[in-house]
Amino acid sequence: MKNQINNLQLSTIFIFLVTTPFFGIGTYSIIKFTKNDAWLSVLIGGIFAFLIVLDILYISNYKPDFNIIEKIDDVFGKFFGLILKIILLFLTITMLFVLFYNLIHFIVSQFLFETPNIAIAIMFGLIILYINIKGIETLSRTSLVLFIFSLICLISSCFSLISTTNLENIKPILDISFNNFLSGTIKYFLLIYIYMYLILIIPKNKIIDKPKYNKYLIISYFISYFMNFLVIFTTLTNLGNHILSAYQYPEYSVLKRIKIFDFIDRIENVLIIMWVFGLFIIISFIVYFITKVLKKKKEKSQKKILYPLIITIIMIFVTFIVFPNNTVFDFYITKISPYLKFSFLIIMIILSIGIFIKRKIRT
Amino acid sequence: MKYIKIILFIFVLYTSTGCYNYRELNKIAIASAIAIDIDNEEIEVTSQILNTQKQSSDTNAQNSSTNFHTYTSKGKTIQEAARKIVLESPRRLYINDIDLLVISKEFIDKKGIDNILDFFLRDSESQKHFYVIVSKDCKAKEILTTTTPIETVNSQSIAHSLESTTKYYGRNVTNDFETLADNYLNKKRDIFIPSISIANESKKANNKKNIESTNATTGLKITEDFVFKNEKIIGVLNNQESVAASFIDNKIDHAVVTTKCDNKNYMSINITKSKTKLSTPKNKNQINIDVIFNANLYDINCEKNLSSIKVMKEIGKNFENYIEKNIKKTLNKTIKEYKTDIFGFEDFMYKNNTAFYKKNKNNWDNIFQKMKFKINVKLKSLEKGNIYKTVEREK
Repeated sequence: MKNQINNLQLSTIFIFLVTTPFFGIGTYSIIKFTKNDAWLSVLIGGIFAFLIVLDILYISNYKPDFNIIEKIDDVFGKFFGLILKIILLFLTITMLFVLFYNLIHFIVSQFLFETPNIAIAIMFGLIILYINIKGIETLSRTSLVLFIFSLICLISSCFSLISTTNLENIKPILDISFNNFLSGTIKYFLLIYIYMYLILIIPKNKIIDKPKYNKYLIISYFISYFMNFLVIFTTLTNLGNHILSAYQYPEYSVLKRIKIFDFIDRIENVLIIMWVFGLFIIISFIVYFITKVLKKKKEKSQKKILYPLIITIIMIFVTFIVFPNNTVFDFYITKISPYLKFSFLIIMIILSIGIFIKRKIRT
Repeated sequence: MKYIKIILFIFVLYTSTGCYNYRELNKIAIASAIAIDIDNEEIEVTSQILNTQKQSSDTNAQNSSTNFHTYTSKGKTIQEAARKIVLESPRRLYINDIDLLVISKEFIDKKGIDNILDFFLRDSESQKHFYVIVSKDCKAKEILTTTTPIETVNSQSIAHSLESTTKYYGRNVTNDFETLADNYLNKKRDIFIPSISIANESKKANNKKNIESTNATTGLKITEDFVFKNEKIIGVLNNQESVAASFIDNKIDHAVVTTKCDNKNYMSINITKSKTKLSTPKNKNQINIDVIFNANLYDINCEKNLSSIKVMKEIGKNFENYIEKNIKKTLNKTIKEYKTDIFGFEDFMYKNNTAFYKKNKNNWDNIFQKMKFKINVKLKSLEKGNIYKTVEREK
């Protein structure tokens, strides 16, 4: 069964797609708006994001042999399909730059202060390239293994932080203005939904035991929903929004507080590996996604190294031209990124409507 | 493809296992404490560097050098001053493992603590869990240069002393940097920081000779808590008030409380467990402080029949009243005299009596001055140690 993956592997990729963009920079931007109500905006935003899961299931049921790119071609024809694909390509490339910058910047700013960005970028780039040459099967297996590690890290972090939890930090509930709360909720929604759609690059028929596809996807969404809630709740109740809003990586800062049995401490660097793993999987998956957008269906398999190679090289060298420093990155995240994310949502809505009309016409 | 795989394999193998960004232990100066002073509008940074060669098994070195060295340099910013240390020290300063930050009172009076917080919060290399202390009546630098008996590295000596003071004396002096920063960034509360001073200052203070005798001539002593209003120090809390503050903050682990048992004699208890609960009735400018504690009677210098329940209750009541009086006195001093909110009552009202707080937010300073405190101190259990009565020679 070459190039087929099972539901569990698919679920782990999906969980990484929902949780990883939220860890790190995500919590920072949500806390900035919603302060101690950030956990509530994650709860509400998560319910809205569930609508996206339903939309994903709806799109995936249409021609299950096709991936999202083929579906766009099928629904909109060659010309409009091409326009939508170009927009989609542009948006996924920006996503790739954002995540790759996030990964490298985190490693350089927290661990390897004197190492040039490019050295770390090349190392990650090579592994990402290799995993993409091997194909989706390898990627999904890697994802499953890394997910187990990540889950152990997350559970042990949360358990270790229970003793220092202070519920006073989330009081008073819903004291911020409605606009701020709404902004935080929308921000959370925008932060995670865009990555969720990427799962559609794997056609439903490629999944072993596809009748359980819907069930697995819904369950994995709720696991991710719970994980995101757990992360923001633990972070907020441990540090409080005053100091958290000063930190660039709030989760990493809260992990520094962990002390198990009064002698195991300074383990934040081990535990944060879950986020690094998540970023690695998502970036690899986005490279896979872009490869699929660029690749023609009947292209020879010998060329399978070409597209990942080009994308990886662009990723390694262009990311730091697009985001030369943190200030530019912050500006992009706060001022430009929300509009791009909305445009992605519009494309997906158009696709869903297109599928709906096409089905109606057929029936 | 095969060749590409081999090339990739070799590249990853070399780059992953190599040490591109390595910093050998013998190439860095591991700081155990930092002191920050001000000198003619310039920031003076002193770092206490562990003598790693001394820590090794070289026994001959023990007699010839101290366990730490201090380096001082000046600059317009903390970073500039800290980096200038390489002009004197052969190694680059590594501040990830510091135990202590000493700030001089003079520095706070002139510059506040904003730039110190900014420096340490911004620096991703530094851990945020070191203790912060203010030097009193001396420069912060002098604190780090004073040699101490028992613990040979004085920053560790101070850190352990702070921990013991919190654990056994009842003063809450171990708020770490992150907690301090959190409280400081919260505009609904003020902060307090413990102080340290040099006792019996002499010229030997920074000399090994200071600890060669059985009675060290000069030592370090944890003194009052400096109370802040916004970013400036406006007063102090003495030992007694500091313990009372710990009661309010629910930070008592153990504490010794001493009060009179008759007109001229005293008795002491050791508090073994204490819990303070703050509450506020809805829409009232009032905070209830309920303290419940267990204690052991440690020392009693007057004639009392300790086997009598009535007498034991009386003794207990005595201590309850004493603690209540102390809490009242401390509240009065901080709120009425210093007009500061080191206990975060504003934050507490905002979180627990939100409607009332919002109604009076614009006039909070006046409301705060008129706040009522209902203090209820209760001794739950008083043990009397190994003997049932007071010791006295039979007549």
